[in-house]
Amino acid sequence: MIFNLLTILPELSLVLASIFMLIVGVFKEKKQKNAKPVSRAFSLGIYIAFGIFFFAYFYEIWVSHKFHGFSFDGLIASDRMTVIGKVLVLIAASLWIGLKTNSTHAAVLRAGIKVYEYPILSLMVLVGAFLTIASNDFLILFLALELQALPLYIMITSRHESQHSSEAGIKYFIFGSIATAFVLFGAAFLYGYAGTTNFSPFANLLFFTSESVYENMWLDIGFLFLMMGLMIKLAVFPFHSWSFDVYEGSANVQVAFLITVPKISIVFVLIRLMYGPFAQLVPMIQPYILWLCVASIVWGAVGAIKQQNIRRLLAYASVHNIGFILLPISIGSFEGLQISIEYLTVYTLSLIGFFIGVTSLHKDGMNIDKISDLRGLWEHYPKIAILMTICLFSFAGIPPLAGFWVKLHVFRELIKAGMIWPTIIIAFASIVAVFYYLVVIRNIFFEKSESKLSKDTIRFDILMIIGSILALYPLYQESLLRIIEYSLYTV
Amino acid sequence: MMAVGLGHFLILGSVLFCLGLVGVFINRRNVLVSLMALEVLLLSVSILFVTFAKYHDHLHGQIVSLFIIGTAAAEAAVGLAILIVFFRFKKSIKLEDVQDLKG
Amino acid sequence: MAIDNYLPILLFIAIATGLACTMLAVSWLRGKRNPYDNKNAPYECGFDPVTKEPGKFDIRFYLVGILFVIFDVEIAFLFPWAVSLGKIGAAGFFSMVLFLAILTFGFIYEWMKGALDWE
Repeated sequence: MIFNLLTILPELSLVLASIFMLIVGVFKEKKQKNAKPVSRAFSLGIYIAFGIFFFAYFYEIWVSHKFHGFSFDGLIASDRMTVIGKVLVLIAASLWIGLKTNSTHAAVLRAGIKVYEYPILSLMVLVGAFLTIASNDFLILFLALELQALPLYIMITSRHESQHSSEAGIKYFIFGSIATAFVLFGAAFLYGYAGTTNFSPFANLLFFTSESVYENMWLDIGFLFLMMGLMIKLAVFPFHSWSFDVYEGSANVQVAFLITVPKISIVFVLIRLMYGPFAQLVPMIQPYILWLCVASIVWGAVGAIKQQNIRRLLAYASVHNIGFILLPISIGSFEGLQISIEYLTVYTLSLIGFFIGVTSLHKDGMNIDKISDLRGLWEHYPKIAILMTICLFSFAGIPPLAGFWVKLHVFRELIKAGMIWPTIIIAFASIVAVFYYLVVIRNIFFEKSESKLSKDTIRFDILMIIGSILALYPLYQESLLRIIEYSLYTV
Repeated sequence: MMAVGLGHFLILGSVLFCLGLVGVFINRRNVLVSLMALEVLLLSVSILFVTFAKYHDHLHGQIVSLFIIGTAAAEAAVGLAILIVFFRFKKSIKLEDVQDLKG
Repeated sequence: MAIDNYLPILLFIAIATGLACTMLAVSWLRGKRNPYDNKNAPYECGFDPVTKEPGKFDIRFYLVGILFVIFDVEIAFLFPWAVSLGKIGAAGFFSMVLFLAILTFGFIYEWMKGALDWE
């Protein structure tokens, strides 16, 4: 069936929910001038409705295979990889919009976001991210990228008291639009080469072509620009400069959203492109991607050392980690793909754990801004201090934690592919990276603070779950890898 | 007299794209000019799509270019709105005022 | 391709230029002239022609412009839909109805938000 609504049930329910919330909210605001800015009842209702839809969808695609394949005339893919991607995006996002954490709510208010539209915008970003993961056509890819980018521009600019917010908004807008234009430019030339914007015919076309695929100029230009556009969005090394300013100008809650949701979805699109339609072209660009990844790992590690601002530090950490996520993809093996998604999962969980801690804390009624603001955390709130330290150690790759194992897998995969020099370089870079995580930990544990740190009520259970997932990683590592392997067979 | 063919339209689209990029990066004056350059970027791609649609002799590329135009309008609207917010703080839209965040 | 393919365009340019010149010339020759200060002052919609600092632009124009652009360009989707309505069946018809419904919700939101009020 061409017109299969069930394959886009999660997106559909999110769109309907956001429209409903928008209209109800605007009437409510009209009636009482000081309506609650970020209504938690809304987001909870959405979360329940959405959960029901999602499980129905999950069951249909993952278990019963009834709607496996492509729908909407091949525009939308619904295979197991989309399910894994959407679950990952949902995990990253639900902690910020769905779960009724008081701390998130308070942190949003403290950041100066006083509009009720804020959670609705984040729902729209979610729709965009879902469609990006599921897209099987350049048209849908473009529309989905725009759908997740436009609400993000507005979200970043929506802090009323901060002029840095609008500056970050302008920068993010300009670079985001350039990235989209690059993707489109590439798509135009690929369309010129193949005569179709759908991903599926490309694989056959490239496989059975009589001429050498390396010599077709349209194909090369198209693929190059497509990759460049996606890499600008991911902030890989030569295109990373926007991310620092944008993250610094946003609030912690916004960065937590910004650093996970769009990036996860774009990594999944990259995987789909490089292993579905353009598998024949991957050997051509593989060395370039490899060295770009190595460069961003090194840059992210070295640049972070002298940073004071916590979000700027995390921007460098994100450049560093994106390198680690793309490296196994660039190797070009099936195991590489698995390890990339594994790394992405662990990275997302560590980030969320860290951000739950950071956003719940505040000092003199202000959000945590500098690393030195975390001083005295161990004295006042030892439990949060320990859980945040677990997340940071997982980032750094300290042995018993999840981050260590995934980094080990990346190294193992690189050595297996015979790339000794990149392995040595990134090993040194990750040792440098440990240093700046240790700076944060020193501030948490060993420095005395002048003013008192306070915290909102915090969902310890979620933080505990994330902490134990990261700590007990070797126990279920095999089954996680098996799930990922199973999900990738359909690509 | 040379006939105007596929290659010329491709060159037109690509040159416009490069002009848009130059307009974003070389421009030192005004954020509004950057927004216009971004619009040029998207519309040049739209030209490319229409050209390729003519080349392949089917409609798909033209539909894509319609979607590009629609999305470009939405993007311009968001961009202008962000610019207004920025203007309220800074009372200026000069590009050198977009330099506060440096580390 | 020969140059005579471009003949219609040349004719079009010639006629357009000629028509414009004729209209200007006729109004210049036949019109009554009665100039005074206010009439000679440059006029632009929404501006006070005489201000101390030139270049200030009322932000409300931007707002109306932004809202107009969106609703104006979405119309572009209606043309191909209308042309192919006979071939795309019920699914095609209701897709556009859905699209217009979403657009209407956007309009309701904008209206209730007060974005259309001038003051």
